[in-house]
Amino acid sequence: MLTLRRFRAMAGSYGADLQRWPEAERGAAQALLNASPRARELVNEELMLDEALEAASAREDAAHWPPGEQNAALARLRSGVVARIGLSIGRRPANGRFVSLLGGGGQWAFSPYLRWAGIATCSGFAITAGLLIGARHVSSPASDTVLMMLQPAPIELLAY
Amino acid sequence: MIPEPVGRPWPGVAWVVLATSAAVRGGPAMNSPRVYGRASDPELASWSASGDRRAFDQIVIRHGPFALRVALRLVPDPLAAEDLVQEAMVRAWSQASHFDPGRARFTTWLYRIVVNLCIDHRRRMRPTPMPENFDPADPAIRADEMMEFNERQAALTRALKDLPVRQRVAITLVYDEGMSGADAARVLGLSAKAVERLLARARAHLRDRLQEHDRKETWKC
Repeated sequence: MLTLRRFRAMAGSYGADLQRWPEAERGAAQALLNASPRARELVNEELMLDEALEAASAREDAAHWPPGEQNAALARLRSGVVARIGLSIGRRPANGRFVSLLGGGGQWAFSPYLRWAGIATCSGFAITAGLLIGARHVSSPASDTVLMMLQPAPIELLAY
Repeated sequence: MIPEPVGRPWPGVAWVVLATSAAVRGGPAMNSPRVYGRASDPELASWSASGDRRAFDQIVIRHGPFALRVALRLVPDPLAAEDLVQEAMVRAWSQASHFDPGRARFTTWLYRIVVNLCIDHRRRMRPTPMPENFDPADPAIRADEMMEFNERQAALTRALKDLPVRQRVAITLVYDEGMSGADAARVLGLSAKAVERLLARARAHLRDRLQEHDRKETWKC
């Protein structure tokens, strides 16, 4: 049951048009409007402010949006957003993929994960390169030298 | 409502690059063509989160007009308002992966970003005097009526500008944009009751200022 007091509060917030009122209250409000002259009076009082607000809103729109201006503003917005997204895309870890690595736009914006992966990869390359260079430039010992090293020392030498 | 540029994607070349890069990144739905115009807001948000800029452009087409209208009502400088909306859209792009359709409607999430930026801007800016020609004359009205009508409108416009920012947002969302009180409450991050109180205070302030204007006019006569 909607009291006249509550009706006044709702009209003071949402104005005379019941379509603007919360859906749950509309039915009861309409019933009270039909039954109560005071409720109708309250709505009429609010109607004047509603009309003034509507006129102000229309004039504001006309001032801000001359014909074609809304489309022009939207076009400016779209191109501005595209440009700024293009600039910022490198800084954005899009779901953790390698976007920041590929499109940094000159920014060193690696995630910690990518940084460690880079360090590990570089270290791996360095170790592999070292092994390859070492294998090429250090001659392997002759097989007889190796055998001699493996043989036990002569007994007389030990006695001496 | 701004029609979608069917068959003429904008800007054309950029979207070819974008589609390729999204494919390289393994966007989830790159196997089947994406129909951006028919996609729901949460779908577009999800695609945007995976780096699909064309999906985000569709979001800008859909919700840019609302954002621009609201920003212009809250921030009277058109350049500043456009900058704020652009900033809001870029934030929405960069935070698209945080949008959870289970927790909020996409529009609520996006409009909240726009409105919060406008509120922050309004709180930072100093009050500016009304421009000379903010309320141009309507030639269809008689001179004396026109003067009275314009003065009343000017009084109301000044009163609207003087409203505390949250009250102004509530009036803009509910009265100018036709949002329900509950939706406006979600955008503002308040309860429906709190929005009801904001609206009541705003209307009381506007009514007082109009009555004050009318009293002065009566006294002049």
